[in-house]
Order: sequence, then structure tokens, then C-alpha cells
Amino acid sequence: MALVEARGVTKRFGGLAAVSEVSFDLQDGEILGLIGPNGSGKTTLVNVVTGALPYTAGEVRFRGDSIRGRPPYEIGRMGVSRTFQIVKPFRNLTVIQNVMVGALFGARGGAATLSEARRRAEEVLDFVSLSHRAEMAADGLNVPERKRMELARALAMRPTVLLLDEVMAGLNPAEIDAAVALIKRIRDRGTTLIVIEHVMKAIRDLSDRIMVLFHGEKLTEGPPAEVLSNPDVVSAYLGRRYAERAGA
Amino acid sequence: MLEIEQLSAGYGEVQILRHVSLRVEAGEMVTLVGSNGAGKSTLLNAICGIVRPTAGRVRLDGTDITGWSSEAIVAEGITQVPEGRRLFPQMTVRENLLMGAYRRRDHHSIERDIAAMYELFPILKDRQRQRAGSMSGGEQQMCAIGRGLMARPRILILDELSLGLAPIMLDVLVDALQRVHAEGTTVFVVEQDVATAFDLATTGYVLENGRVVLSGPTADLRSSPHVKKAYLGL
Repeated sequence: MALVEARGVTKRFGGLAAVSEVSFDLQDGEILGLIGPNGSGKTTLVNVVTGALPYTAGEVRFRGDSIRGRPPYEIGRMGVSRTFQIVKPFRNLTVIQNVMVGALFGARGGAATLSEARRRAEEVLDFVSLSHRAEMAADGLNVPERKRMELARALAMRPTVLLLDEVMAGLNPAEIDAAVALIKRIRDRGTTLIVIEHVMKAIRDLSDRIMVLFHGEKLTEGPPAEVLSNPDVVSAYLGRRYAERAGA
Repeated sequence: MLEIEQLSAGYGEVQILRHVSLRVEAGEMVTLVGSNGAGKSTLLNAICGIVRPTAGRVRLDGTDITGWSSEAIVAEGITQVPEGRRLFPQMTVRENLLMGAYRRRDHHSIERDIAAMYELFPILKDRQRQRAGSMSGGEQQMCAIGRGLMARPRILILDELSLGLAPIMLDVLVDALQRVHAEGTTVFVVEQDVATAFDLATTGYVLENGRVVLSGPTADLRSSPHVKKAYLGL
């Protein structure tokens, strides 16, 4: 049994099908890359899986149990955590306090005491190399640091499944390599991941499998080399300049 | 057209830019690339009057605009397409485009320019009555570029064109900007995606730790070992 099973998931906004009949399995311990043009339904799919949005049809199962209709906090406590494309820190809290919120709320019961939450937050901040910013106001972080704090807050929940929505936007190649290594370490510690990213180098290096959405439908899925050389994926998503570079 | 000479700027005690000089000639498309924290946004803020430079000069067509208010700088002909688009999300696409023209007196030609924007980005015409905030990232970037062009700027500055956009969407935007440039608009692109920046511009500057460390034709920069290793991931 796959860790997460989605079957025929459909989300309509009025007449518009943002996600249409999408089915996929997420195996324990894998990294699934999720790509597709802007507006193809990637974030909507994440919102559906995590309970942030009700959906029109279909079902999502986590460890075999349907999680359709459960509120997001319950799905979070069951062990499904996420980051947001537009980072939303608690601006008037410090970095470590933001992460402690994740630890206190957390999956598998969460931290029972403030001191335990702090210890857990310190450990996670160290893991994402953000310890030096722990006592800073979250407002004072630059964009990539905010993304790492967001990641730390999600990790402090000790998730079984983590959905990352564009954590690499705005990073330079060296920072992308560091982020790829970090995400691999998260997987090695036992977390299964779905990674949405437009940075193809990262998607290629990270993903065990890639799933492509196009106009809300699943266009294809498979191993990275196969998916990224699929002519349909090139014409729907990767584009001319990517193909030129890959060919050069 | 735009001339930056020995510009230094920072926030409080923290100096970010150190003696930065660069030029954008009329009709040229120039790019400034650099990592997070290199000082790119500070430079844009200094050009647009949001941060007051501590030393150096900014000139537009020979007029010294150093220390001018943002409003006066916009009136002088510098328009920025900001990082993260910053559209008015509750307004329609058309209303956003009109906001770009709010300073213009030549009201009779505004409709014609809107039609030109719809021709440049046909999807904006289909979406003209839709709320800007409901569109995808790529469509929002088109609207933000359109809004910037509606001001009929002497120079259009783009901050992080590529942020969060699918590769194929960037192809569309690169083509559109090349067309805008070919039709005579001077463009200055500040960009972290160096491959895209070099596809666009003919002249490039590389900013590191607040200093320009390399500059020249982008064809030459592309083959620089330092640029290859640090920015192109080769």
C-alpha cells in the first residue's frame, strides 16, 4: 500500500476545473517532483491533499484511511505537513518562536512543554543552518532565509509526508545545490516528499519520479530522464530555450 | 541614458553598495545579475529614490536625479516592474494597466496603448475584466510589464522577471521583452536567473558584495570561468 493514494481528485472553481481526475501514489520514502506551467493546478492539488481546500470529487487516502473532508489541522497532526509558496511567518515572533509553533502543534502529539518545543526548534534550526538567526524577528530575514524558516517550522512538526511548494525560487545555483542536499537529508531521516519546483536542475537531481500537470490534468509521470525528454512535456512546460540548452 | 557613477548606499550603519558604476545607453537592453544579498535591490531602491545614496550620482539623460523623490523620478521617466509583480490584486487587468498610465496627460492615446498591450500579451485581452489577483504567476508578470509600459517610460526596469515562473512562460516573456526592446524601449533587467538574463541582454554587469566585479558583453560574460561556475552551475 502506498503511503498516500489519490484517486480521481477533481477541484472545480465555478466552471473551471483547476484539478481534474488526478490519481497518483506516493510511496514511503520517495521524492515525487511535481511540475507544470503556472496555473496548471499544482498548488491547488497540494491544497486539496492537505485539507486546505474542499474538493469536488475523488479521494485522498493516507496510510489507507480516507482524509477527504478532514480539516487541515487534523491532517497536519496525522503527519502531513507543507510549506507555502508565499511565505507566511508570524511576523512579530522571533525565528525560533515561529519554529516552536510547529513543534508545539506538531504531528504525533507535538511537544508537551515549552522547553521541549524550544529544544526541538533549536535542533531543526541547526539542521537547516539557520541557528545564527534564531533570536531575530522573522521580519528581518531575507527571502531565502524565510523559506528555510518555513521549512524548519514544517519539519518541527515531525511530518511523515512533507509537501514543498517552491522553496527554491530566488536561490542562486550554489544555494540550490545546498537546498537539494538538505531535502535529500530530510528524506534520509524518514520523511516522504512531494516537491513543486520550477528549477529544473533541482527537480532532476531530487526526484525519484516526476509527475506533470497540464491544465489541471496529469500529463505524464515517470523517471526524471524519461519525463524531461518527453516531447509533450517540452512543448507544454519546458519550452524552446530549455530544449536548446539540453541539446547543446 | 541611465548613468550610475560611484554609487554607495546602505541602511543605517550597514553599507551595502560600494562605488557602483554602470551605464545603460538609449535603446540598449542591459542586465545586472547577482545573488541574494549582493545589493541588487538596494541599487534599484537607490535609482528609484527609495534609498538615499551616501555617495555617488545617478543621472538620467544627463539630469542629476540623485536624492530626488520617487515620484519625481517616475515623472522623469523611470518605471519599475517590481519583484513579485505587486499588482493591485482586487482590480481588473484593465484597471491595473490604466493605473500604469495615471500620470499621463495624453488621454486620447491611452486606449491605443492598452490595445497595444493586448496585442503584445493576447491573454491579457481575454482576461481584461478578471481580477488580477486571480491569475497565474506568468499572467500576472505580463500584466505587471504591461502596467510598466503604460507609463511610456524612457527606461523600463525589471526586478526578478523569472521569479516563480515555468520555463515555457519565461520563453514567452523573453520574446515579448525582445519585441518591446526592438520597438525602441530602453530596458534594464535585474535578474538572478543568469541564463535568462544573458539570453535577453547584450550588456551585463555582475554584482557581488555590493561591488561590480565583472561587466561587458553578455556573450563574453557567458564564457567567463567565474560566471560559469558561480552563476550558470556548469
